[in-house]
Amino acid sequence: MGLMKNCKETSVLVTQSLDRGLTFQERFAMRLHLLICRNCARFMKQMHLLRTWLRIENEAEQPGLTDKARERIASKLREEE
Amino acid sequence: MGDPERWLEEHGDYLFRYARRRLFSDELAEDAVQEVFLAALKAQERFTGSSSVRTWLTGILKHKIVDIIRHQYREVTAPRSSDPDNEDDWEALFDNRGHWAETSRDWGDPVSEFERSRLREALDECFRRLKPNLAQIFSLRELSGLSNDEICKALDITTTNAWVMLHRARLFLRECLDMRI
Repeated sequence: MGLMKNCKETSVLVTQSLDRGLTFQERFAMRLHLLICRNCARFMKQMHLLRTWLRIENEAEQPGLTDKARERIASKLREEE
Repeated sequence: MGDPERWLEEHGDYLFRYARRRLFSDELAEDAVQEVFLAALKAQERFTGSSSVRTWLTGILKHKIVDIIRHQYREVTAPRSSDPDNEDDWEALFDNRGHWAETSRDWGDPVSEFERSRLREALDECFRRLKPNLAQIFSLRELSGLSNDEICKALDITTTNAWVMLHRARLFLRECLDMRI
């Protein structure tokens, strides 16, 4: 595997670094490219932001169970009890 | 009113929101919550009280969510996903030398309440637009926190396949969010 990567190849390494441990050589090649490429450095930042944002839980704003669903589940529970 | 019914009162909304966020569907989320309470009813004597009720119920829910996604992926999505992804969509992001066709933008991190709620809306919208099989695998990885191995086992796909799909999901979400934030 060559050490000089283009953006397309680097983008694959960047997303895979979120899903598996890269090999030493892959990590080195990725870092090398990121040093000289602002677009890919931003891409990397965006990928990390995406992960961070998905972990923000603000579920209180979302609707809860509807009365109908709640009643259905409650009556199922009474049946089973 | 027995314990499970009281639990439904106290934790039903929380569990529903938790499931809805990972399943992208009100209907599937309701099913998941119902299954959690039925399972909790059967297992209530095994609940030792060493964790909070909510933690215990959420633990059951996590397993149900993976089961539901696995089922959806195999039964519902798999036959349809045999039509190949349009490779050109992804190719268009790069020029013929493999450089980005367009400059990447600096997203910045939203801090104000307003920015955050807009971001939330953008994320929801982009998840809705994502192809179902990509949304399912991405949800298992990022929202349920499964490892690659666990995903491959659950969905019965190869490691390479999983990486390619996660890569595509991320590229799609990036493009989609970039237009909205």
